[in-house]
Amino acid sequence: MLLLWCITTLLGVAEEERPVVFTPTEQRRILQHSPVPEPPDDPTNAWDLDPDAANLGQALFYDAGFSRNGQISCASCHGPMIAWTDGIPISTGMGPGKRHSQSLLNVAHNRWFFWDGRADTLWSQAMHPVEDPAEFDGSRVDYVRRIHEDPAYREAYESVFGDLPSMADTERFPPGTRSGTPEWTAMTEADRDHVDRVFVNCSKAIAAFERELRSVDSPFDRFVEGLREGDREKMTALNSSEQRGLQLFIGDAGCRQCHSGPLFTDFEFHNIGIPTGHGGPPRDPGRFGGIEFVQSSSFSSHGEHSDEPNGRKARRTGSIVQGQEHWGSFKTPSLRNVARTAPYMHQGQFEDLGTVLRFYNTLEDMQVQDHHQESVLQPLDLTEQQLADLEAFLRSLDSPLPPRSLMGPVDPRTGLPPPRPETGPPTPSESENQP
Amino acid sequence: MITKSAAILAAAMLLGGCSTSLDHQLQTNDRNYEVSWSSDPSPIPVNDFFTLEVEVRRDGELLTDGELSVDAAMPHHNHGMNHVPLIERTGPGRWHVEDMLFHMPGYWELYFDVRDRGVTHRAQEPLEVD
Repeated sequence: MLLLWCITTLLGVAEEERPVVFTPTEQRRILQHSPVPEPPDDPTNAWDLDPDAANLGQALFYDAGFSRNGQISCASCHGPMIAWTDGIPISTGMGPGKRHSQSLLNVAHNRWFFWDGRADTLWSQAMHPVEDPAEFDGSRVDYVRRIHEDPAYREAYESVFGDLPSMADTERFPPGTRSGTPEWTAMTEADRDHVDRVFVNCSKAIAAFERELRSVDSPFDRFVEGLREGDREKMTALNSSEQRGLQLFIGDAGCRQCHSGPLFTDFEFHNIGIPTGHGGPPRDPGRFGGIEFVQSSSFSSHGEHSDEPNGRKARRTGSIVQGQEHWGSFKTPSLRNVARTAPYMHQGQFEDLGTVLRFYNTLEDMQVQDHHQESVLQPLDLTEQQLADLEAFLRSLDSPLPPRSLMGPVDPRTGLPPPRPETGPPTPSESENQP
Repeated sequence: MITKSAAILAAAMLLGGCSTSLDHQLQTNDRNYEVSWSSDPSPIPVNDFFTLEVEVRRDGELLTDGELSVDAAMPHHNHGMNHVPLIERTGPGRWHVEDMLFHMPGYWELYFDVRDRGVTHRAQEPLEVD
């Protein structure tokens, strides 16, 4: 009996340590996942690469003063210390939201924004939270008025976008006015255009900041570099378990069907039958509704506020096919830094990576919508060791976070941290600590 | 991917005096039209936009009129492309196609529908994109 135990244990160790050999096809597939290129330029945003716009955008991103209660900012749901997400299943701002907050790391690579792709540019995405009752619950008139009245914002804005006309007349610009309300409709077209123009420009500044949120240098990337160069030392960046997980990822587990390319996403939309939580078919239309919104919104890439309304992006937004298969489908998230961004799925249905992998392994409680659902999903039937390997590989996609200088509020004019608020004279104990 | 039948068709087209610089040759399913096409980049990438150059001939001659539509599908997934491609006629029997996107790896079918004299004739090409 002891002999049998020794043999199986030794065999187990041997299996554990056996180097992974990748076939030429596997190697070709692995190379498709790294390195991550620079984010694509956004021709619909003329300030996409403007560092002064990015400084203004960073200040706006961390400023809670645009929300109704003065406590909600972009960073409330996209916190830098937890990979620019919020770590809870359903995000909550001024009210309960409907979906999970997505990480903003590497966000500028996206083709579509939000889980349903209802925005086709990063800047138009940044506009949505301000007037959403579940998020800032604010108004664009108040937003723009604050840009006018705050000396730092006004100076920063005018240095990038040009002069700001006065908004002092509260008859013309009624406080608290949101788009789509009777008060908004009662404003003159020129005044509405003025508010929208400043609001859009501020959103383009936020997009310029968010473009800098990159995190792409993972152990996996060092492994791929070694594979490309034939450098075995670099390839040790992934241990045996992580390499076996990689082999499953690009092979039998079929993960790369949707999680393709350097960002480990196809940037498109799929219905994988995630349990809805309420039983029955999905009530959230997902991409089906997102297509209708993005094609009809005047703030999409084809709209008057786009800096390239007749460009390729605008044309592609106009040519999206809307089919029944899009009902209840959601965007494939990037897997870079995935270990940092729990919980998972569009409503945070799965609390950790192990739960995600167990769902794919069994498809237990899968919500079958109709015959249009992705028909390639089959239970993976992986062993516990294989699941552990796959999870180990996913954890190897962690990269250092962006620099600390991007992790907090700044003076919109300089991009430097704001001066600390003045305090009273130092206490005796503080004085004693002075050098 | 050039299949044996495509190679035979290409040889037949050359013997018949038809010349094309495009990589792929096939016939409509009713064998009435020859369709030639190339992609840029080639081979077709996974999840990157690509363009097509297409030529359509009848009896070895470029089609003087008629229309072309192009589409593609993943039959095993029950879905096609997420965009309607932009198709521009560049000359008799010649078309340039933009905004083609195979967003997933796997088996795709590429469809060329030639509408001529009130009838649509389909040519289709199986493709493994990886």
